[in-house]
Amino acid sequence: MGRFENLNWDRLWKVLRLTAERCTRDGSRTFDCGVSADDLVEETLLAFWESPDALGWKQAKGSLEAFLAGVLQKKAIDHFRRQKFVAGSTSDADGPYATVRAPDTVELDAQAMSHWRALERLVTGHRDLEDLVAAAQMRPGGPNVNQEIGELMGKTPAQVSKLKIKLLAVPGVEELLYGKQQLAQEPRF
Amino acid sequence: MANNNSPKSPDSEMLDRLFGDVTQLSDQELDALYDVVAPQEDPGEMIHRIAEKAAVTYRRQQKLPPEHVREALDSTRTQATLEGTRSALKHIVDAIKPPVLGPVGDPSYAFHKRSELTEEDRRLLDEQAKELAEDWEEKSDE
Repeated sequence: MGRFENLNWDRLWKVLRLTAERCTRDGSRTFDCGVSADDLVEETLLAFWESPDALGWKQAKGSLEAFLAGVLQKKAIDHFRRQKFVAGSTSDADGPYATVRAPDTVELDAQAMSHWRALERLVTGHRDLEDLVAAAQMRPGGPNVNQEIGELMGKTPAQVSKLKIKLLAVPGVEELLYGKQQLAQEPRF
Repeated sequence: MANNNSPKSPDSEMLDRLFGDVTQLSDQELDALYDVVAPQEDPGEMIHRIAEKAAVTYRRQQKLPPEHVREALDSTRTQATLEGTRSALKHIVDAIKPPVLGPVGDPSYAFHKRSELTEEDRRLLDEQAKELAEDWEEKSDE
């Protein structure tokens, strides 16, 4: 069987799209003269397909998803680096000169606390979701997220996974996590 | 914009603590998050479009697209006879297929969770069934 048979291409696209969204989330919606999260995914996949040896990927190197997510992150970093050389106004808070000011970690910590408080307020009244949010803040930060949260909550990883999907259905959570504007639409639950 | 060495933004940090590495997400979690980020995008269509672009590059060089391009094209090829129909239908089916996962107040949404019908839901259903039966009777009388 070929190494590309039975690959779940839909899943691969989704993984890369969400990875790109996280990479660009810390910056503006577009960067380096208009490169967006979508463009990053397209650039990564084109590089993969236009390379006759699939950028040298082999199953022994791990999953294709993880491999291409790494390629995408490197491409994002390249764009961010190039962005520094794109001239802009010195008063532009998002421009290249904005980085002259050192990142204020106290301010970021305060913002992070405020985000968690906002999330706690959104789930108030849903006991299981309140516990989920508390456990996510307390977890050690290892790679097995559902396992760690589950141990703190006394639930299985599968139960934690279901709770997280339930969390996304709470009005306001999507906007808080991804900064999306609330669209006029029917409730999703 | 933040440079790549700056600390993570608060919402990124929250996403990391709640969901962790994207490549480790279960299919359900991945679908739910993807639905938040790009609800209108059909992954199959996007993959096919980009793979086709790569295939054109190979053909321009008088080369056969390699295995990984052909696999992507074959796996994401639409088989509908009416162009675009499959995609539109897929959107509709995908929208109604997932179970309702959150707490609901409106009975019309609560019906998706058939095992969790409340007394109030049942009363409304019975009323509607009765009303419907009356309508049928009226029609058959005519």
